[in-house]
Amino acid sequence: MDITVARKFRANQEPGTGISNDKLGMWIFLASEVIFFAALISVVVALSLNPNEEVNLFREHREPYARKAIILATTNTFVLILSSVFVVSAIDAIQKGNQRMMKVWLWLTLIGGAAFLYNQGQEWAELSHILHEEFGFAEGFAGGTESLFAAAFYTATGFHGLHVAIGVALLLYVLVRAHRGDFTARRYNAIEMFGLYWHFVDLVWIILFTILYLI
Amino acid sequence: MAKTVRTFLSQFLGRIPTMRLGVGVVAALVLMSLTISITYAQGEVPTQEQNMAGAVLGIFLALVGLGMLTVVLIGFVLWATQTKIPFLPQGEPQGIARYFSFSTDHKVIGIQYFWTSFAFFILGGIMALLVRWELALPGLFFTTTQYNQFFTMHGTIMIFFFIIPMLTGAFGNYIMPLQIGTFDMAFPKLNTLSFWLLVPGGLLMLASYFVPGGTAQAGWTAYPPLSILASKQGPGQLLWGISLFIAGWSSIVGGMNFLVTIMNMRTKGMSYFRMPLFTWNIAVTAVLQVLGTASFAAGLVLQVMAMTFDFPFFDPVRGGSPLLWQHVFWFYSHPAVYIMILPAFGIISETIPVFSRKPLFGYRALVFATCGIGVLSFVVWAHHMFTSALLPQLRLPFMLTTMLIAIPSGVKIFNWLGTMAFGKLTLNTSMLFSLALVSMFVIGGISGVMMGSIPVDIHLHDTYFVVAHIHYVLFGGSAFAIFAGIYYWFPKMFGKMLDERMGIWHFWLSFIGFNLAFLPMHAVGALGMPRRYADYAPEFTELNFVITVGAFLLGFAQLILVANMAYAFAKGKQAVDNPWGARTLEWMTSSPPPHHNFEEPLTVEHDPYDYEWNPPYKPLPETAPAVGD
Amino acid sequence: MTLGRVLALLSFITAVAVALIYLWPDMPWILPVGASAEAKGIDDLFRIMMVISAAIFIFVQGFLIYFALIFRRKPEDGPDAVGRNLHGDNRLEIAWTIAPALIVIVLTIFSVRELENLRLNETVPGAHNVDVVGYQFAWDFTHPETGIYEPNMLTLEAGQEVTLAITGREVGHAFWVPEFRLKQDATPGYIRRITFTPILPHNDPFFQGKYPNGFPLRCAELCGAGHSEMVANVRVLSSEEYAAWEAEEIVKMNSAPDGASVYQAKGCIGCHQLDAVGAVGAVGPTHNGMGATAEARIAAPDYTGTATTAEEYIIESIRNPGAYIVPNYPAGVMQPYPPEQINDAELDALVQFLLEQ
Repeated sequence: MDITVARKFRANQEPGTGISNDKLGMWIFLASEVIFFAALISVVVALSLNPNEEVNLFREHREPYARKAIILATTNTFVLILSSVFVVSAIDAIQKGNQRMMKVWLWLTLIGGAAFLYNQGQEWAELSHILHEEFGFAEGFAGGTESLFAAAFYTATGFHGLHVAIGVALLLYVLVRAHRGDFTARRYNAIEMFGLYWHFVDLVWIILFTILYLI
Repeated sequence: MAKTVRTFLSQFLGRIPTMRLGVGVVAALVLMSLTISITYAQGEVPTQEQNMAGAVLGIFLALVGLGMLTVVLIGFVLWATQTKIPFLPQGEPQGIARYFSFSTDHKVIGIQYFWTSFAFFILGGIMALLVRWELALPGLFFTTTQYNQFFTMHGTIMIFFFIIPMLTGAFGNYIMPLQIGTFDMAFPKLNTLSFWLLVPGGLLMLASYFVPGGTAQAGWTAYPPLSILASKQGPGQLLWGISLFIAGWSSIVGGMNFLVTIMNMRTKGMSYFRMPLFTWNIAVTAVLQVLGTASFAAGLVLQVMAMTFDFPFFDPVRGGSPLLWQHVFWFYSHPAVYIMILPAFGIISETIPVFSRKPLFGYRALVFATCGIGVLSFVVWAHHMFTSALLPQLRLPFMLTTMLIAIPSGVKIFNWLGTMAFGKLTLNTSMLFSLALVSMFVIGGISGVMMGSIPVDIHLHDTYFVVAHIHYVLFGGSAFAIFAGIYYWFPKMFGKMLDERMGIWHFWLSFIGFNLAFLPMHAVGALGMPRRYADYAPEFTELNFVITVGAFLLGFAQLILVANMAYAFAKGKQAVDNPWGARTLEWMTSSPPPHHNFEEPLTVEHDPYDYEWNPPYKPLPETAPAVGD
Repeated sequence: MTLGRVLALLSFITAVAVALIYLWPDMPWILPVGASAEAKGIDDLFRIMMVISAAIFIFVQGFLIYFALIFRRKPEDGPDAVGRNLHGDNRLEIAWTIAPALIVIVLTIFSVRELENLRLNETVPGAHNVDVVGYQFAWDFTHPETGIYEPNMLTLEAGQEVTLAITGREVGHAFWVPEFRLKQDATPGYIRRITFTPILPHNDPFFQGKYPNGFPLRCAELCGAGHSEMVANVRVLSSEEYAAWEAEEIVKMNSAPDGASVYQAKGCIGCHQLDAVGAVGAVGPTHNGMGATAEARIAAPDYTGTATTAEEYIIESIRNPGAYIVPNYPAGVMQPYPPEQINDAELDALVQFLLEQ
């Protein structure tokens, strides 16, 4: 598509929303992701309420695990929230023209994301271990076959973790461009788009954490 | 360092076509092994009787599908990192090759969607005829398992690979940017991704025909625990789930693209209330696609987990519930039926004013009705669950919302009638199909309202009355609109005129066959025949025989359309800019349009259906109503 | 044809349609006969809907066809001819928003009233309870108050309110008797109740002999390969017949003998060997593997009895042992066992027990 042709047409358009195509697209895409996680989370909540059994199988397996893993999970939540703050700081830095600090904040975000994923792995190992010790279930993923809680936990945190991993990949791309000097005080669209995605992933985790560990 | 890696990658991938092929094959082999190991981990191994050649073909198709998916996703990542992508054309390929390329032109993509959807229409139709062959007489011709597979694939293919991609992907993609006067979509490359995600999705669905155990067989609704049980007979049910998950991405990405394009790229003067109604309907449909499909994706994830790892989400013994799927599924699938009908309403809101030569009656009312239907579509889903184990207190609220959603649909019908009144009607094929839609949708809408009443639904649910209803709205509604759209926009898209006489034959044979097939279903269902039955009580024989005759007439009538299109390509008359004398922007450019749609950007000063205004465009042939300078 | 004439014609056709609907109130062209008390209310609602639908259908189609005919482009219309420049009419919009709204409100009110009559998902005091389990591919019925168990057939009493508590076993099914009008999904993990009263026995002259074996129960939720075969019968008996049936069932239940205890009580162990009960008699042939042996015996060329199945053979060898003497065993030693010595129920249990050996 010839860039001059595109420019000619873009100069002759209705005002539109005032939000750039990229950002608008990202918001709409995130709306679909919200529904995806809302559906998964509703299912997890419904399972935790478990109307059919005298014994709440979900909670029975959750209690021992949540008790042990709560510290780790809370730390992890904090790490993810911090990393979201770092992105905001990065945007703040580039708005002020501070290339160096922007890169620093972005690297810290990456460390936060990677740490989250590592800890999530630890939590999985912890759950697998506890289920094996206390209930005699199979180790690892196979424990999800007998334990409703494990199945819900692995699925929900698994898909969330997948989204975090994709976010980390996106962040790597943003870092590459940051180091290439692509961003200026006036042009940092990619960081904002990434930030939107990252905040969303963070928000989903806060809700998941609440459902899976707290209530 | 990064640059070296990128250069190496692009040279490696760009060097020799076989290298690219090699990468694809290796990726596909890896994924194939993964898929096969996962599915056979469930414990079923093909028996001696199973057709090994068929199994190999199925695995090959799945391989190609997954390989294509990998190539598409890798290509996308390379684009995101701004690596030169050798297999995206540097400059557009010409001629037929365009339609097999990763073109980013929305018109090419629209046509790619058109032919893919049409091919699946034929396949879905064959499935329907197999169903009707079984039901022509009592007794069993096929096995009941095969029968379950026929109607499962019929429903699945028609919904996800014909109606939705044809209406949104083909017509939405091709026509909407033209109607708002812009040069392409907001995200042309995402548009390419959207189509090329549908293809592997479709291939995986086709692959399921050839794997041991055959295709999915739990209905297009795939209720667990039946679907989980069915998945133990072979990988077909699992392939079904994965295929739709991928096709769902296509829908979500497409919807997002449509919304951003409509919101940000309308040409000067095209305010929201000057947009043609087809664009309005595509916009609301896009909202439904973006918000609804994700729920289906979540449900499919849960089913795939249950099938593959035996996760107990739907097993009551281990604390799960079959009802969870029903809620998550219908939360999408109800908006899905509106995804299937709103663009159809949009199409006839274009054709009826044009072929009445007067403005659309009640433009704003139609816009508000469309938005109202869009919003309400998210709060009626449990009316598919009135006889289920649904929490009893929920039945009444859903009945109320269901009754409510009937009102805007009624308003639309009246406005279309109002558009016809005092017009100068041209009853060509496109108009006939459009008017038939109004007529058939009244019937479908009435049967829908009847089932919205819980006491009556308790008798009618899961019977042939439902089958009658869905086909009146989906064939008499969506498919008739697709036909109307084909006869209307074929000249614009392909630059050739379709033959009117063949069109009239297509219309009347379809109309008669359709009503012969689906009208008696109301009776046979309410009289006691459940749906999804391979065999029935002898008292239903006569009606079923008539239905089958109608279905075969309807099926064979479609061959006339195929012949018409083939003839048009071979010997059809060249189409001019505006053969129908319409006023929307797609007609203010050549047929087909140039690469960037319009020679110069337009500024809109008139309403889309303003017949007091004579727009400047090139002269028309003698057969079409002519208005010109 | 003027607008007035068209309206008159359409009103006339609607009136005819409505008359037909009310002249034929049972609507046999679309509804089966109603065999439950609840069917009447549902059918009345259905009839109202048919009337409203007929009116809407006739008027909308009528205007569609009318407009298509009279507003058709005429030969004298030049290519420039356009229709009237009407953009809309707010009063019309309001009118034809309110009209469907009113219709929908009316239907909703009628529906809610009928819904209240239906007592869905309630336990009803005074109703006869039946537990229903749908499985692949048949139904289990248990009457908990009497303990009677009915495999794949349900027996009900005419005029007696009954509450079915319905669930499914391995996949979802749905309980539906079209003539009763009520349907309920049989979902694993859930119990859902429907309550109704069958009005008349199934062979009452009211049904004109159309239901000689009872009303059809058809599974109405896809449940696998046997979905369309999952058809059972619901018998409705008059009060006297039902009482008699119930009594008979209870007797059968209470006296239903156990095959093994019959074997031991009737003295078989004296002459026959059977590992299952520790019998070591050697006068007559062994009973180990009796199921297969019976098949082999009737197929053997020297068989002199009249049995054609393994079951018949065993019955014959008890009721009429002289019909065939197993080679190398003495004739005339085993005497027939008439009903006074071993009644039908006991014999039945014994035969089933032996067939399993």
